[in-house]
Amino acid sequence: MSTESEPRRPVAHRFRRRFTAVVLVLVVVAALAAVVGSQQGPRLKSVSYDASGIVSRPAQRVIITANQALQKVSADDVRVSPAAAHTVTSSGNTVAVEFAGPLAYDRSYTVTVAGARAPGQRATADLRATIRTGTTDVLALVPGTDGAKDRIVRRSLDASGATTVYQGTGITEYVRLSRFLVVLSDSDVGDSRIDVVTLRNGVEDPDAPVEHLTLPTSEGHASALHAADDGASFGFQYADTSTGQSKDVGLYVVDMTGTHMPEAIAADGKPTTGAVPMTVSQWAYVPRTESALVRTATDELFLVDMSGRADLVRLGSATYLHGFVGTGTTAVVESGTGIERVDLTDGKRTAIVAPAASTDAQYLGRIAQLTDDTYLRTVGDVRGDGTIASRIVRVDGSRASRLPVTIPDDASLTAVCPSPNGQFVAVATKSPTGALVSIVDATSGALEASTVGEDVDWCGALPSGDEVG
Amino acid sequence: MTTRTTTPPQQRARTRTGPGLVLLAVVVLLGIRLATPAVGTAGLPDVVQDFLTLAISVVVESLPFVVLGIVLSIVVEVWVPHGALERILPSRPMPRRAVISLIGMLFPVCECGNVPLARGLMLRGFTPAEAVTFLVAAPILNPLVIVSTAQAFGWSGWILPVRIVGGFVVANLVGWIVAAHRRPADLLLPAFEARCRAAIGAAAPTNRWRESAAQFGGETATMMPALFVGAGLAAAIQVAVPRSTLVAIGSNPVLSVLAMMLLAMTVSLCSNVDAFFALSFASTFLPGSITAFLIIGPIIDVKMIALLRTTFRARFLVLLAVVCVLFALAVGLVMNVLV
Amino acid sequence: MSSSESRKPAYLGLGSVLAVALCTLWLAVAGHLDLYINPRYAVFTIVLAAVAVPASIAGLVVVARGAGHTHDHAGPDDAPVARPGGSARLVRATLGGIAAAITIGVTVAMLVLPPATLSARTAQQRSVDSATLSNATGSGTVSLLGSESVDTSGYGVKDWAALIRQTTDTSSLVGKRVTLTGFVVPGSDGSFTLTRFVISCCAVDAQPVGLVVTTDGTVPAENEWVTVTGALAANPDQSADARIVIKAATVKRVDQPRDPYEY
Repeated sequence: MSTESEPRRPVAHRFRRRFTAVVLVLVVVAALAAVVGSQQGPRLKSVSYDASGIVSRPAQRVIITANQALQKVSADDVRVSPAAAHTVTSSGNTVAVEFAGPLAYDRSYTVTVAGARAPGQRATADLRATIRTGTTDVLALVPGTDGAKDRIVRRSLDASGATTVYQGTGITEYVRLSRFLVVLSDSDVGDSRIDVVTLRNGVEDPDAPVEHLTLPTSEGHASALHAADDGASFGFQYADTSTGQSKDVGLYVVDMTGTHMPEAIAADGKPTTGAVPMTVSQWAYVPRTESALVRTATDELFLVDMSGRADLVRLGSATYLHGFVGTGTTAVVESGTGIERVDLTDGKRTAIVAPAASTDAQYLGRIAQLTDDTYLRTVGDVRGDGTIASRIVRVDGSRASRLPVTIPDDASLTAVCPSPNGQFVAVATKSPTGALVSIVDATSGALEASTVGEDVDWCGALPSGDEVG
Repeated sequence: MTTRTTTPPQQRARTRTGPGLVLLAVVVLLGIRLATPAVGTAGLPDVVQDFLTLAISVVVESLPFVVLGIVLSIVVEVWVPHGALERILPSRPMPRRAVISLIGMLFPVCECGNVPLARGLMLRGFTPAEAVTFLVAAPILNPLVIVSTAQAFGWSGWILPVRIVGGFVVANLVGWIVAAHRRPADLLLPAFEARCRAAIGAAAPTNRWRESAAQFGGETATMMPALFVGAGLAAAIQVAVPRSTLVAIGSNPVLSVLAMMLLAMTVSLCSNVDAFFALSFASTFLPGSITAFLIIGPIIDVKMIALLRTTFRARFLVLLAVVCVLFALAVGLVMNVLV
Repeated sequence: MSSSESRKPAYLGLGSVLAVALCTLWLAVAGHLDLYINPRYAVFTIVLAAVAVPASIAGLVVVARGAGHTHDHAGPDDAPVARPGGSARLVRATLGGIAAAITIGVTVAMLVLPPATLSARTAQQRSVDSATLSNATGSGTVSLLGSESVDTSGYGVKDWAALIRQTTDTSSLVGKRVTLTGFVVPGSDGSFTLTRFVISCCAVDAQPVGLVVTTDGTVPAENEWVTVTGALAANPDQSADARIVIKAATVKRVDQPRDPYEY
């Protein structure tokens, strides 16, 4: 009956329509997803790296993680732009790109894994990760003129202007210690004072009290302040002047993880309260460790564990400690047989290469070793009036060239200190008008930044002591 | 109900030997267990030993969920008073179906107990569309299933939320389609449909404890063999199939989904514990394929089809299968692209 | 169907539940439950196994009295389902038989054989380098001649393996002293991988993790449990994926630990 079926037809169609519509939509979505999925290839899930570590330490890795397991990636498939020496390992769904040396400051590097694919699949994809390296800043000491206080200032490389971190009178040395600043000041008569200043946001925290360290004797003179990279301890050379004469001059250590009482490093290399300290001609902490490399007054070379847990290690004799190779654990040591690199993990020695052009001068100064094969050396000729006309020579393998840095005639070169990644060099000069620190490019000599001041914190790694101020 | 209280004495004696033998077997095995040393190797080849270790671990991990599921389902079927459900439901069809799909959260029933419960709902006057929504949603939207899925795959990550949302969506989708049918009764088997029209209310069981124990026996009869077969299959695949084959299939965005769905429809695991079976593939298969397995498994598999066949017509089963399979396929494929 | 036949599946189900539950309780008492599942689920598992024992016995008693029923077939009020033809019945019977065989087989194996851990064969098959390791943080100090390493004494194989894989500064690990226990997966000349399985839920998801160990002495046999003492060093094989290896000072055979898995 037509009248009966009329109201039924729309209802019957409704069911069929719904069913067909749903099936159609699902089929289209599934087909689309299938096509897209089979062309897609692996995707980048995350990138991990340490922005400040990658500019200051060697053998840092960038870990690239994909969303699924990858067919083994070889070094040929990975491109880094701008180019940097690297090795590649891959397992599971991660690819690790290990850079041989620290990267340049404040640059974007792009790491591309080309043709990554899942095992057994045809679709490939490029995984592209962009990393931004950190930048750095320097601290410098600005002596106060006309009765003004001495200031420790921070100069960032990518911005102009200097921020004052701390002010005080008679500041002679300072050192950065994680969240703290350890400041060494002298009174007019040469009595030293050591203060531990808490920093907040990079400057002195006005709410935290300055900790005044109790020195070993009632009066004394401290110098050669150095700190461990991990902030666990710092040390200094101390002379007891309470009797009016200097006696018991030697190495002291302050354990920042315990009581902040200075302890003498005894002759056996262990911190002992009240002992006669080990004599020091030059010393510094070995980068990234809690150990110190010490050249005693008798020109013996020792490796001292400043935490006192391990024994003293004797490394022979040395006449001068130039410094360390980059921020690694190899020291550059001069002894009777010449200048050598000493690997402090196994004691192996390698002579450095000194081309003629780098030794062709009357005065041969300090070596700042950037990498195993490149270093800067301060050399100079003596002028008529007895002053030294200094210049900086750069040695690359067996080639020597002069680093085009202008040093005014009336100025003397007081320090050449490389940045942790060897990209820049802080050149400290002193002239009658004042002290100047120039940050120049270590390869081209181009000026990056300059600030009035002396005693840059990059120089903190250089061994200093009795003979070398 | 046929009464068996007047069984002749010989028949009663015979029925005691069955359970007696079973208990004896279990006691003997337990004795062996207590007597043999707890450590040491059996000297079996590595392949066999690893197969057994893997299969046993799935069984041990799953047993608590199976038992808990059966206990809760017994509580719902035997102990919850009738009419408790009707009071909480809204009246308009779409919200009503949405709430019905969530009933499983309050009254968790094992997948195998779903069909009788759905039949019971229809006997109480629920429409077939509503019963079907319940049938599809309850095995997934169920606190035990959610907990066991989270235990296997973690609370963070995509597999758990997509399983839950996917289950809700597909259940309401199927219900929406069925609700448009002019004569939903056409979807039911004639005899069952006639029974609905008679609208007999179910009588309360005479002895609840006995009924509970009987149901326990009934449920385990179907679930335990399925669990062992599933555990054995997962273990066998893990030890026998070379990993490169598993990885090649599992990394393929399309093939992995198809393979896992096929597996889901043949292995009739209870939805309480199918997450542990899928877990054995978690390291080689893409997450979309695992989720597709977890969505289609509770709804369509060999055993469920057999159960549904007691209530619904073949035509309806085809409709259900087509929509659910396509839905799970789409979800799996899209998830492989996005996640 | 005769009443006794319809009870067989119930016997199988109830019997297997009872057997597995009792075995689970025995495993818990003997302290071997962690060979199969992650210990954080132990309490839940034990409680429900304890519930399952009386429940299955009650089920057996009720079946004995003849009042059991299953969901597998239509209820008494439904129209009789047409009995399937001969071949379909045979197929169903065979499948049912296989299922029963597997059930009984695994249950008996569980009760008769001693509990075991996964072997090195599985570790090799699942390829020790896995994609699903957790992140671990490390410290930044280096050990020089004569200095001690910093305390990472709580680290196990899983933590060190994760550190070596995920750390952005591998040279900071060189020199660290480690003492680790695991089983041996042999590698290429003079080296092996000290391996352990990491479990998140139960043994079926066990992933092997390991560290490559180089030793001057003899390489121990596969599957052997050993304790390795040594220091971390750069891998002499520069082309290998493992950048850091353990340079073993001593390799000592030990008994399998009570709990061989890491979590």
